Amino acid sequence: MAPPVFWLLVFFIVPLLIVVSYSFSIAKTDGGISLVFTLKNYGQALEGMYLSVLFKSFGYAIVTTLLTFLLAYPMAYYMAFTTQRQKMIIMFLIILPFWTNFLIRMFSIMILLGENGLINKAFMFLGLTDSPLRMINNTFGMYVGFIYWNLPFMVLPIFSSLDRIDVSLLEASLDLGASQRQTFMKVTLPYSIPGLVAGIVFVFIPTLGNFVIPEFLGGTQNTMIGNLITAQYLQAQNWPFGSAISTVLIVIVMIFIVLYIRFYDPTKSKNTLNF
Amino acid sequence: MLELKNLSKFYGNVKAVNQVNLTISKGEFFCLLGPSGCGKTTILRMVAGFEKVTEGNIYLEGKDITNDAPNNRDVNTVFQNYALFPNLSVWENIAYGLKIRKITKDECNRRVEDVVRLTGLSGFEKRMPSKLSGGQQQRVALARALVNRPSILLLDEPLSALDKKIAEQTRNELSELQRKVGITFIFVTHNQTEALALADRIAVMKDGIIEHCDQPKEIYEKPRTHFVADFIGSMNFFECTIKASEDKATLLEIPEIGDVILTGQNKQEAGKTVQFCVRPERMKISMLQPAEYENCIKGVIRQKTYLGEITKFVVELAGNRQISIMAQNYLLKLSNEFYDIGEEVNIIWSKTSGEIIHV
Repeated sequence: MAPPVFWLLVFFIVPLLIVVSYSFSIAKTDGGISLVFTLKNYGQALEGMYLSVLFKSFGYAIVTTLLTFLLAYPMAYYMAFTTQRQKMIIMFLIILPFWTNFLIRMFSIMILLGENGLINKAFMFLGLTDSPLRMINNTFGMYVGFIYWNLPFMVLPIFSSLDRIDVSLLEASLDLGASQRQTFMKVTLPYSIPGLVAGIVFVFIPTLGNFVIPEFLGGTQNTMIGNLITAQYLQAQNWPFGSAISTVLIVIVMIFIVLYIRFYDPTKSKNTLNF
Repeated sequence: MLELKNLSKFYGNVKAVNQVNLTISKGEFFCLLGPSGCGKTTILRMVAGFEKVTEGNIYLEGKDITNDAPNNRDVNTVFQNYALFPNLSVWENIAYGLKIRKITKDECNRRVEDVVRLTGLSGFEKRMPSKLSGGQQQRVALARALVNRPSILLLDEPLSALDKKIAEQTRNELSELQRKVGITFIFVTHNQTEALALADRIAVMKDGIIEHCDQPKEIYEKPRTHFVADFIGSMNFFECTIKASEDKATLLEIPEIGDVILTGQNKQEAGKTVQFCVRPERMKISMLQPAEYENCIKGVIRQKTYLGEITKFVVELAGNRQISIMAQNYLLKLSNEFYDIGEEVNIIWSKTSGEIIHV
């Protein structure tokens, strides 16, 4: 067996199989698991309350992906067409947050956006508002957290696509009578789609399953599917039910990935966009 | 008609193009020739609108287009790397400009078909650029530009990426094509053979300045500067003084070598130091005495290189100067056996050959 296959087996397939097998089992009262075959967990997972959380999670993930894209594209565009030196500086700034732990970064956002945070203090100092704005423990705070966390994963793949565009293609388009806007729509945008699609996958899927950001910044009314799973595993000690919700999520994500590969084979796109 | 008036482009302290004045008439095949970094591509890019002009103006048909956006200029470019859109087929690439201009579908199809036939691309319309050879890609680039019927077609080293045979073939087709469509072509190249073969007029450039602009034959036969004489073909140079001169005949003194006569020139100023230059193929090696209409100097053969169609000799003259001479291999035996390294020979050329360059 080739080593890569072995790694895949140990780190991905076996854990996955354990989760799937738990999802068909029953939780014992002491928190243990009895391995019998039952569909009870799935029946429960597809009940109205859990399904609505699942749908809401999709909504949050879609909106997050969209907002992240809107912020990331201009950044990536600027980066791709600026000087080599500026590219390096911006790249460094984008990678910089990775040097700090994720949780610490989320705490910083909490502090920054909090009622006594820098932003609220600045707003009040400038007289823009009398009382502090509520910017965390609500949907707004959650989106700020998500976008902040996801931005590099959207910027970098789009940048790498844009950076590979041969400038003479843009010149050719202008030369043939297309305006700057037409050139963007007909050349720049289509050639950045591989990066864009990669960015969407990198942002959408982790957001869908994330539970830390809604917990930290989303307040009590913003629960995502990840929070439900965590609660089943940690608080309710009902691993089989947590596994069933996880499996539903995994299956949905798998469907997305299969569609992505079907319509956008990453190995094929390398050939057609190799210039 | 295209007019460049005092056109300049500076990058910081570097004067890439320095006060260039040029008028290119309608239907002309014009060539900008020079070594890399001489500013020829910069001029082309300024005419296309990709490069901002530092100083001066560009007029197209009398209209100032200096600050027009590239998409508003009646000019099209064939790029050095062709810059074909990789996700569009040959047909779509060619139709790109027409579709942007919202030309009716029938008209568009007709014009694309015409230009496809003209450039010999029939049967390749549905292919993707990556499935074409270099020569075919070059034709697509040409077709994509020509289909817009611009006043001027700009060609940026279009043959440099092709191998020699294909480049030669494409060169002939290009010349024919230009005659057929009658559009002004401005062609940038560092290859003097291409320039000589294609152009109606050539501008030889160096360090952002046009050194000499004239018909190919004039450039080759009567180079105005040392650089032009040296850059186009090969040239033997002699430092000399004008001993005596009258209309149509000049006597030149080459120190340590002797006197030579040049006929057919205007009267020169006596006593002046000049450069006298003669092309290697205008000289011959001989053991015979010169005729009355010929100049003759002595030299020793130092090198002999067989180059197939010609044999190249390097001959040493008095004062350690070396010149080169090209002999047609009309009688191979002659250059092979008669003239050997170390031999002293007569170097003979017609008194009508050669040129005086003022320094």
